[in-house]
Amino acid sequence: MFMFVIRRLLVSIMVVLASVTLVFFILNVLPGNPAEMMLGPNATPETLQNLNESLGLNKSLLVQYFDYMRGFLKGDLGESFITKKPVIDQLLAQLPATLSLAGASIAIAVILGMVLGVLSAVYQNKAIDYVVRMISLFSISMPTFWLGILLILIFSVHLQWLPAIGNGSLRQLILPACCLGIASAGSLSRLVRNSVLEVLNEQFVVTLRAKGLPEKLVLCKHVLRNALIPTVTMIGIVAGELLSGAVVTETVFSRQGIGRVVVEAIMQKDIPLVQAAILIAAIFYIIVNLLVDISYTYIDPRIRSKH
Amino acid sequence: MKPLLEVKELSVDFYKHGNAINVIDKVNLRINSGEIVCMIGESGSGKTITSLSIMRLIDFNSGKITHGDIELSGVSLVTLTKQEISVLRGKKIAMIFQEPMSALDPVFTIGDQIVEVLIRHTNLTKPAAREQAITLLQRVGIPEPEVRMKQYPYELSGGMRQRAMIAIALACEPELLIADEPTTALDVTIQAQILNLLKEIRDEFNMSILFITHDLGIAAEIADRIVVMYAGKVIEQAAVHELFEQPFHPYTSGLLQSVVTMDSDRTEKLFTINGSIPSLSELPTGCRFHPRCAYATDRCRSEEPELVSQSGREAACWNIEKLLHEPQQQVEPKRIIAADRAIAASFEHEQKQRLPLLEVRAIKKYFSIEQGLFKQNKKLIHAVDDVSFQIGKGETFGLVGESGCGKSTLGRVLLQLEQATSGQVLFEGKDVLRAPAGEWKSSRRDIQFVFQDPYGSINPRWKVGDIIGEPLWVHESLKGQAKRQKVVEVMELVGLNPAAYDRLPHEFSGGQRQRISIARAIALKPKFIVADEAVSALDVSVQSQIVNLMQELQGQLDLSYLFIAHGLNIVRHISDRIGVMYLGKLVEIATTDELFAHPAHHYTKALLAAIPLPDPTRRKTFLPLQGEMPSPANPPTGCRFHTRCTAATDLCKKIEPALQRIGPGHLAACHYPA
Amino acid sequence: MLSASLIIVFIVACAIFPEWIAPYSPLDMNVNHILQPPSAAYLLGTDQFGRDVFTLLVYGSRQSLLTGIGSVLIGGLAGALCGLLAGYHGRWLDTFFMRLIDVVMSIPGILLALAISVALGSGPLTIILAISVAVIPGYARVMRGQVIAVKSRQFIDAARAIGTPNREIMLRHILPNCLSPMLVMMTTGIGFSILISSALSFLGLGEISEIPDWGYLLSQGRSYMTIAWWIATFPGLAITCLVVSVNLIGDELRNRLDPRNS
Repeated sequence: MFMFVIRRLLVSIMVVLASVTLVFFILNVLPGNPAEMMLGPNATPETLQNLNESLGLNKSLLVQYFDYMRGFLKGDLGESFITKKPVIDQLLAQLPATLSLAGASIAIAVILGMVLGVLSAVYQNKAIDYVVRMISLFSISMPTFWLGILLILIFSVHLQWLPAIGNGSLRQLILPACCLGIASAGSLSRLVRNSVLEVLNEQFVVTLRAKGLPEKLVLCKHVLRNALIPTVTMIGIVAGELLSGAVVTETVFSRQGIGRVVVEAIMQKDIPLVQAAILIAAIFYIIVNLLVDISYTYIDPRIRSKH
Repeated sequence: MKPLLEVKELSVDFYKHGNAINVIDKVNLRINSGEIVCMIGESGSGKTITSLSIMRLIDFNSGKITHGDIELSGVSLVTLTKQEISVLRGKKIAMIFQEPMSALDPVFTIGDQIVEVLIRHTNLTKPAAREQAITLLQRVGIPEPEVRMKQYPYELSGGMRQRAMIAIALACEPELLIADEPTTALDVTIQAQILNLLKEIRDEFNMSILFITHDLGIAAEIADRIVVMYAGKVIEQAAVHELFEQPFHPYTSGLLQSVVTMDSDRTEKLFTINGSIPSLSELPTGCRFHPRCAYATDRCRSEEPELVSQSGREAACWNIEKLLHEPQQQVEPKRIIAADRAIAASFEHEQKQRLPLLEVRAIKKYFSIEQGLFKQNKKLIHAVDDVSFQIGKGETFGLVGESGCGKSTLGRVLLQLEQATSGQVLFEGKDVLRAPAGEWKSSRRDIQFVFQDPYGSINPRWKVGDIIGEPLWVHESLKGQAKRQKVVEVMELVGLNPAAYDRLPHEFSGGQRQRISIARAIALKPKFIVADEAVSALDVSVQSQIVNLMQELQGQLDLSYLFIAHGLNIVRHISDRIGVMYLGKLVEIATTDELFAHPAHHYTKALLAAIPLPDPTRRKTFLPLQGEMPSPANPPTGCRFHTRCTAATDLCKKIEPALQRIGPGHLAACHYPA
Repeated sequence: MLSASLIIVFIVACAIFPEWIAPYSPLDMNVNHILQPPSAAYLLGTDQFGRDVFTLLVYGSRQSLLTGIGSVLIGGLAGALCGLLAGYHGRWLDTFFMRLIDVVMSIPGILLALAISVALGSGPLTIILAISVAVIPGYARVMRGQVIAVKSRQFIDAARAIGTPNREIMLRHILPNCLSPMLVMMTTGIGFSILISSALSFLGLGEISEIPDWGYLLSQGRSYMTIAWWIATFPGLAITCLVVSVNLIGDELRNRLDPRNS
């Protein structure tokens, strides 16, 4: 187990380095100079030259890359081109807001998705199943930001139950977390439904019933535990996609957060800031996947023995 | 005496897409207390559905009892509510299944799964239930029960899993145990152990057993009474001795004749029942068996016979009298291949005169499993360990052994699907494993194959003609009309209708698909065919058809076969010589008659003794072999069989016996050959 | 299922012949009729420039559909190819592709697409390309899993034993047996790509062509949310209807192609 974690960590570090590299080259190789962008069309060649020099943009790309990576390995992620502050401080300040949004929406997605999925599978082809499937279908087909706008229109503008924007209080978290969670709940419930149905077709379910176990026990203890194996994989994927969703949701609800910062940074070609944000996203993705893998070993003894 | 279980005119429908399909029709069945009743029939006959209906487990699969009654000790099970029946399940009636791996929940320990049923049906506390579970595991012959309690199903061997299933079933000492093909997935020596265990349990608890099987040998071995099912109906039932002595139904008679016994005449063609079991959605009118029946009359075609009692037994046939008094009607001519048999007998003599067709020299195949942070711990699985033998032209060499012995791996090495770790395979004197780049194709051309799984071994998206023509396309670049012409020729040779050329495989039954595989194998007129369990997945009556076909083709095309199988009776019928493998080693080679008459290795002896004989008058009274095959990752020192051998001495533990000549054409690897 | 097909037919018709369906021109700005609520004249109301929302939706459908289908074709095919090679070849190529996919997947899809389209400069083609790159890993993973599953089936051994060349095994045996799940995934993928592209427009990638696409319309409408709910609501509804229909058709395909149902 310990060895497994160590090996995963080594691989993870490689992945992080590679992601940062990939983004570095996407942002730099392609046309468009950040200095030009920052100064606007009226800049004189001299000011452009100066800015390029101060940002280190006049050096060759490879030198820039190695300079950046040297700093990166020392833990120095550089300063924002725009604000001239260390990017790491800027992002860490935003981290709690994004994490609380992500956490809350994962919780909503998992609870809602599992409950709906199990209901739908147990009452297969009955009314409940059709309703749940319809809800799930719509929730995965709606643009997140449109759902956000509708939620604001209904709950803030018309009913005036909840605040539409801002962050800090728990009440302000409810709408964005629902908005982000519902879409993931839809895809989760579809998956849970399928895997529960699949497990219900397994031979061992016949054995359990032949043992005379009450159907509730068969479902809640045995079927659910087995159906959890694919579900956990999905939770990992959903959590990975959550950051994409957070970017949009934070914009809709005008919340602070890494998502909004990074969107602005991309638009302004504030490369160090984008790099650092991607780094955080990659670390998040890796932690989530590690958690998923570790939780497998608790759910499925067959995997436990492999490690 | 009132029977323990009485099933009266039970009919069950299944619903699919809103349509009802009748799956069993007016089934009658009685089981007395302490009786073992075997229900036999081919796949699709409704055996399993009947057993699931008794447990009312069909409720969960959109099945519905539409007619009849099931009484257990006088209580009707049909009218019970879901809660009431679930209290009886596991307590009064228990069930074990074919595949003990999929029948156990993979994510809970064996212990949990036994304790669970005890808690449900008894007043035991959890610690008491654990104690009881350990006792149960011990009773069903699981060593170190305390350790096994904490293990998961995947950590146990197939035999141990089935024992654990039996422990679960026994937990509440039910009155009736339903066993649905419980030994089909197991090796023959393990099968013998499980059958023995079931008999012991019946005696100890005076339990009744409904034993479902397709194997008449097992039925003869274990049953008191036999019920024969065909296409959803019971067509005959009788006491085991009566049934084997004189079947009343032509189908039963056909089944009994299809059985390949250990002393049948190998020069005869196998008996076959024409055609195959009809699908439930396209049942014939009248008697459901009439399209395959040699005795069928107009009455059989129009009127369905009821099950009628006659001198204490029952049969559903209009022509019982005819069957009893007329000589048997065998449609096909029986004699074949007699001439070829002589060749085998003089093999050793012949061998000195010419090169064998195929020579396997010291083949080793090790698989490595890597472990640890940097894959530093390499463990070797000795799948095939130093195996040598020869196969002559026109010969059939049978290779037998239990699963995991390496026989299939060896076959895959010969087909170059696996790279041998070391050793040589000479085909007509040329090493095919290290053939120069230009020649590798030609050896593949001459060595073809037939695999076990008739469903998996052909591409489901290809047309039958393209499947059969694939070798022609690869090796002779044949396309279009030229290919079609050759393929049609081959299809006729294997008994397929050439009109099937443009159809897809899913329209064909298992037996027909195996014909497709055979047609593909002979398309290039090869010299040698590796048949890896080629008939194991087929029903008894279809099995015989395929074996006959393979023998006919051998005569016509001058083929040599390597026939890999675990079913010894079929191997005996088809092979000229047989090699026996155990744990990666070839332990004995002999001509077929010699091997069966004088097995020299103790493993061979045990293997032969473990086969259930389809003759209830010759039941076994001893257990042929204890224990299970050790892991090939960690084979025992010395003779690999010493851990299970009754004749083993210290010498066997230390020094590995070499495969040496002990008689004409007879080799054995044993220090103390019998 | 029927209604899903009808919706798709209608939207495809809009994309091909917008001028036949839309009552106005998308460029008509009627300053006297800005922010009109839905009425008989303006079925879905007008926007802040006095353009007919229905007309804008009809004209915008082309961009949305093109983005969806284009990125699935490019991303799906590229992903399928990577997955096929990785799954069939195995060994180092597999490791290489899987690590690469890990790397791409560790970057949130929208950010990746956003970064690519900013770097390339915005435009309809850029968006398609950017989304394609972001969806490649998903397709590659599914394809690889499928290939590995098919590879272990016995008819592949059969083909190898016959001596069928590797290239033919890959193209004629493995590929046809992997197509159905890919087809299903690509169908629902169209919906997914449309959602991403609308999110990109929403995040302010800017107007990418003269005729605004649905996502851009929606983001514009957001500013007038409290006084003119229709501007933001109807484009969202249009996207949802399209994606629901595409998903329904994907589900139906999955059921029909499932070997267990035939």
